[in-house]
Amino acid sequence: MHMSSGGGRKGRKKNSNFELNLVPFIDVLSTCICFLLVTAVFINLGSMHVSQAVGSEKQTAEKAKGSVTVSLGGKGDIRFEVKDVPGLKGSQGLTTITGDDGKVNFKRTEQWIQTFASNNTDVKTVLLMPNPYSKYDDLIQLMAQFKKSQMDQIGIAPL
Amino acid sequence: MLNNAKPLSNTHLGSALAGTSLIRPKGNKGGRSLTAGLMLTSLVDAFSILVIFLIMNHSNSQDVVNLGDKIQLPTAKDSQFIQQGIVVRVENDKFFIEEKPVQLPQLAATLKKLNESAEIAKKEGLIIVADRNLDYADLSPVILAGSQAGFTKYKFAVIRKD
Repeated sequence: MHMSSGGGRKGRKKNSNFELNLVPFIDVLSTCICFLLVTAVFINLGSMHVSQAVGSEKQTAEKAKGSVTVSLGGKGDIRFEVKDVPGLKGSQGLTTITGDDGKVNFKRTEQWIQTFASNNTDVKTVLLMPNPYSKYDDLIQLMAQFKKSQMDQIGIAPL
Repeated sequence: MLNNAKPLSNTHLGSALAGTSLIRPKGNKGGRSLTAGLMLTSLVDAFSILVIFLIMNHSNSQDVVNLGDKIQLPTAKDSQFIQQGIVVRVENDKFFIEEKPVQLPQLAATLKKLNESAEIAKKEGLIIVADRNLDYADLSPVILAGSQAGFTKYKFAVIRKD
């Protein structure tokens, strides 16, 4: 490994080339790599965004497009209530998915959400109404299923 | 004494750097050299790229959220990258706002104070860090207090699943 300082005179006998010792440089880099690898955390953090409507303006603007209210009952039961969607009135807008051994049946909820979202592409608003014993993980999974189906305006009701 | 201590002086192998030297190469002294040529430039390049990659990765998201000792975050697909915000951690029925323990009755007041004084980037919303098996009854006070404090966006911290 050599580096030229450049622009050497012709008549001069002494070569102005100099050598760069790479070994300490490699040592420093190796130490850096070891430190960064040891201190690195390989968890890929993300976040589920939820918007809470505080005022009344947002509600009136979104009312025309309709919304889905999701009530989480005991024993993993989930009730979907569709509001203000043309063509769905009364009991047509109500769907209950019973739990599977006391847990939420996520396969069936995903099927319902995908079918509903493909039939009603304008509906983006979802309101989650958990019960006090609903697990945080269940809420996140439901949010993820709605987001996957492009229903991304999700709100959550406090108790 | 010290010359004898050099391990290379007792072997047929010479220094890799000395062998590749252009000024006074020591590699080819009368005959074939046993020196194994090592291209250190490419090694330095690779190391540099690795260091840059690790530094970039290092400062990505971990400085935003500190997970507690016993918190197992839920995993979720279709989640967004975590951004800045005021971090509220729920751990063993205790609430921590920006790593400071806060009693339940003071939750709304503390959040309101923070919302008024925080930088614009942090006003983006509340980052809620909680265990995946937590009951909603323990999480609901945070959402309620956040609403009272004027926060409209909540970011639930999750582990991204690809």
